[in-house]
Amino acid sequence: MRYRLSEIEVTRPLAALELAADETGAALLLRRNGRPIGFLMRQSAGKRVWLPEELSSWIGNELKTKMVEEAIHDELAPPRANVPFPSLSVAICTRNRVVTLSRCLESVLPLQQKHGFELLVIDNAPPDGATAELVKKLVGARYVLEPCPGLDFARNRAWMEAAGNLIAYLDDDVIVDAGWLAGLQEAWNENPDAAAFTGLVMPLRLDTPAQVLFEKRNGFRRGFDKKRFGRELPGNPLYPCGAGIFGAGCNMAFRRAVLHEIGGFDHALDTGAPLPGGGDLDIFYRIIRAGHVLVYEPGYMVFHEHRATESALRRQYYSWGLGFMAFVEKNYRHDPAQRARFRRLVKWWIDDQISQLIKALRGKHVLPFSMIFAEFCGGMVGISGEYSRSLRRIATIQKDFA
Amino acid sequence: MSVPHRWEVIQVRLDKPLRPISAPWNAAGAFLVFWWKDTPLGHALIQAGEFPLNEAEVQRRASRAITPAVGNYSLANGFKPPLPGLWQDPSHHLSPTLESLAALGRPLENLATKVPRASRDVSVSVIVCTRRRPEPLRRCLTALRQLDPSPAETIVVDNAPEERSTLAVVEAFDEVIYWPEFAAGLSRARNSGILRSSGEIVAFTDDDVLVHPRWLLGVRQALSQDASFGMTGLVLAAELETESQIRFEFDFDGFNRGYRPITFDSFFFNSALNRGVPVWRVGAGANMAFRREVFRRIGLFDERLGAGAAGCSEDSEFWYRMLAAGMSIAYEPRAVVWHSHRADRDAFRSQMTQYMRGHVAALLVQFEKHRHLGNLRRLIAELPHYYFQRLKRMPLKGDRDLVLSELLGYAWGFVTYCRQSLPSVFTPPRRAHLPDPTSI
Repeated sequence: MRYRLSEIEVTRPLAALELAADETGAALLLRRNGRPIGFLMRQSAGKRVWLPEELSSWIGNELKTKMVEEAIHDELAPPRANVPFPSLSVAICTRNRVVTLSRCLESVLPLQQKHGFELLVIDNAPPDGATAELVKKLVGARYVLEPCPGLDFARNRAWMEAAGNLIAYLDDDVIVDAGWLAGLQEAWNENPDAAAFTGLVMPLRLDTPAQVLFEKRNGFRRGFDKKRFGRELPGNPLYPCGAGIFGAGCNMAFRRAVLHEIGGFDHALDTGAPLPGGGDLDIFYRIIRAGHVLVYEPGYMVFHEHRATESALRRQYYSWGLGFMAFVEKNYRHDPAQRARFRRLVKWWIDDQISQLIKALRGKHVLPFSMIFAEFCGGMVGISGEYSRSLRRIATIQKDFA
Repeated sequence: MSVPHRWEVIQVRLDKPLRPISAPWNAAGAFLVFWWKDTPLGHALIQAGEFPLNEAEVQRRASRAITPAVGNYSLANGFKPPLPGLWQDPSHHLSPTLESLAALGRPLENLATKVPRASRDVSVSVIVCTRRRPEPLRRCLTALRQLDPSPAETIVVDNAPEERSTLAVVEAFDEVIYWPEFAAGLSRARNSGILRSSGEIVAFTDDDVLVHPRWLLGVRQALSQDASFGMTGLVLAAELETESQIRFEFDFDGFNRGYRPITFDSFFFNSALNRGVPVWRVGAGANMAFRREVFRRIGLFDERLGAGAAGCSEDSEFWYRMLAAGMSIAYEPRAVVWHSHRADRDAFRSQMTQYMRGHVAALLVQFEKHRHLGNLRRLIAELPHYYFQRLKRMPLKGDRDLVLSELLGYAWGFVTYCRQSLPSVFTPPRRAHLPDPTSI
């Protein structure tokens, strides 16, 4: 299973889309005047070529509402005074992945040269000097060492080291879109009061069955509509505890003052191999609970390289379940006002997982049973005290590096 | 501290620079109606906790809310409103091409080019039927005075007058004709007004309604299309202050039929004939108009129906007759009025009783006149099924009293019909209850 991933600018004439011999489907990222507006996937089912007319009616049917909405949105744009954009620091947290990191840097550096923001590479507990060597060769990037192993140690080191008032975090396995910074600036301009920003995460490639499966189950996508999250979200009884809606940790930005105010990222989440997740959910949740605004902006877009093998994907789903429940356990403990809602969230999650498992057993789910089961097991391990275990592990690490 | 239940109704002009909207005072939220100049395009419900809305948020919410209406005005395919009661509408399978979507440009500015031309020289008579509600009537007449274009005549039909309060109000408006109708009943009042009027178009509104200044433009536009003989327009909630008003608007569909024009024609009529044509979805009597020719062809409102007789549905029965005779009705959202729904619960409950009573009587009248079995099917199969389902799903503390008053109306409708017209079921209809059509 391998999908042709194409980008289509809808305001330009369409060209026919032809699949190569080994490609089994097509995935289209659609843009309107450069802004991402939709993503379509279709299995080829023997079809090798889509003619322009076929593409036109396919896209027209799927995206009609979005296209009209965008045209109206453009027309209604109020003449806005430009809100001054704050000083920006971009932080890439990495660990021993020089090839991936250099690809990421290649996409960020042109923007850095044009706009002159501070670019930090946080090297997390490196086993060798390869990352340091790579970064020190580059003009415009600053190398920062964080010896304590754990992504959230690196993220906290980033905002403490950074000079900018707005910190944009990137994972090393993404590359940024050319409109990435413009998207963030637009979101800032529309929401000068926001404390945090998240953006769209699209697949970098769909070359393996695992990557296609992951994207078929929506991947990291959170839609192509701008969203502004505040104290309430009508129609969502689990808000803001179901923190997955806010975005993903591989592409997010915060005001440094707010990170300072709420005490930064939780070291006990995102601790590398034992508990590789949950830190992003936690920071989004705490920001909303502190009364701040979080904005999701699709134009603030990155491309993420998904796990290539099924076993790596299974591990990722396991860690999602684990990280999610560690997040739940932590905030259940620390935010008594939301306990009832967290209980409902856990119940909803288990019910949902079970119904997905049943669906997968009947062969009606996009994912194989084992993937969902991995996520379920992750959740079960997570709910049985993973956060406490992680706290103990962290205490040892901190003692070692003190 | 009690939670406020009122909703603030806010009209938002999108052709003016957008402004932030702050939280409405002491309200559960706001009902925003979005306008481009004089065209209503959609609405959004914003809960109190979501305020304040900044400019970008207003822009986003508005864009989303008005997309169906703007898409429908701007594109030939893809945004047609569904015909009420129809499961399969062939026009829905067509989708717009990407090229037409990419060529939209500035769709709101182009709205003006999508309006059908109204014939200027057609005279319009506006008829307001009222019964002992002088204060609302005064406000209604004040709004009618602002109309541009203005009607050729405005007639207030005072139904079953017992004192001079209505006359006293009308005397303050020089241009308004006072016309008493001593026999009680809304249908009688409407018919009396039609006979008194002289305009080519006869437009009706109610005394608890405020019209938009451009109302008659929309009326004329709708009726200048060759095929339409009647029209209905958009009825917006004037206020949502009490629980009854809110429930009427949101739980019981209110009168709002959406922001996209719909043509009710013989396709609509024939495809729903077997299940009972949902003519009550065509519009509301508070905002409707007809070409005078219609009355010559199919007669006047049935005087057994309507407030003061069977309760209501004199309007929908008339639409039924029009559709059965092959005349189409245009729903035109650009003809706008604001209606004040009943505010207190007792009035609301008795209104629901009257609605169901009138509905049942109208179904029987429709069956009597046309012998379409769909009406009976709805009466004895679908309505009981609907109430059974509603009672079954209702939580223990649900509003049983409301269902019971509707069921009361259901039974009462049969009684009303039988008392008025049982003989005509067995003998050919005498139509004695209709005035002679030649005199119109």
